[in-house]
Amino acid sequence: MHHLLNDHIMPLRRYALALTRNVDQADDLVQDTLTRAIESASSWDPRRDLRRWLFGIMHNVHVSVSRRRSLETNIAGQLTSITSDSVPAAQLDEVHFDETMAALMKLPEEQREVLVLIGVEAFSYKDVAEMLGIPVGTVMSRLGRAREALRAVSGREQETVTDAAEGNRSFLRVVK
Amino acid sequence: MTEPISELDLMAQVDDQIGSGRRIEVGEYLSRQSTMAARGMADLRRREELRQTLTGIASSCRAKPTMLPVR
Repeated sequence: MHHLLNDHIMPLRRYALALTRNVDQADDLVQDTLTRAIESASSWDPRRDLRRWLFGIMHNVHVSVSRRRSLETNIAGQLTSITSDSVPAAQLDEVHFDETMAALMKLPEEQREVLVLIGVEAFSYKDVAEMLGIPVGTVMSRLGRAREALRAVSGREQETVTDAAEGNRSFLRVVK
Repeated sequence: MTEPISELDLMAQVDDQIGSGRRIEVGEYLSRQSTMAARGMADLRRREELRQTLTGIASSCRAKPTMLPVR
């Protein structure tokens, strides 16, 4: 299975970065996902889509890690004496961000994950609904709200984009 | 009679998850509604921006090498 997994590391990293917004945590999430995939390789049916299966695992791993982390944060919050030596997290460097990326990172997690799975990784609405364990209607309403938020943020640059479109239509290309 | 074009149709058009028959109807609608057409194009452009930015970060600032677990 190892050689099959290699092709999916980059997409998994993209999704992990969007979920965690933190380089170290994203690395750990990719690593944990691959470990879990290898451990449960026998439950994977080769006729099924491996990429979808891996993203589903990443979602589940992320949910359980977040749950544990918030529990630990609560406990740490109560033990105020030890908070002084907390390690600063390797947050994503915002220098890399354009306006759209910055807007994505401000979205609530439930909208961020849907937008990335559909808009960046090109999963179908149905696949995403199954992966996240929610109805297709919920996927679409989260996606709609996410797009609305991004539109609102980049509303100011809209005029320049439309002007540019007159001379250069290359950005209209649908990229799969 | 065809169904009126909904927000869900426009969303499915952007995500390329629309049936071919409906795609023609949505295209017809967008050719008359330039504001909605421009909005869809801007959504597509942002899709591509996010993909490029995330790919850039994913390939550049890796804290640790990813290791495939050994069995």
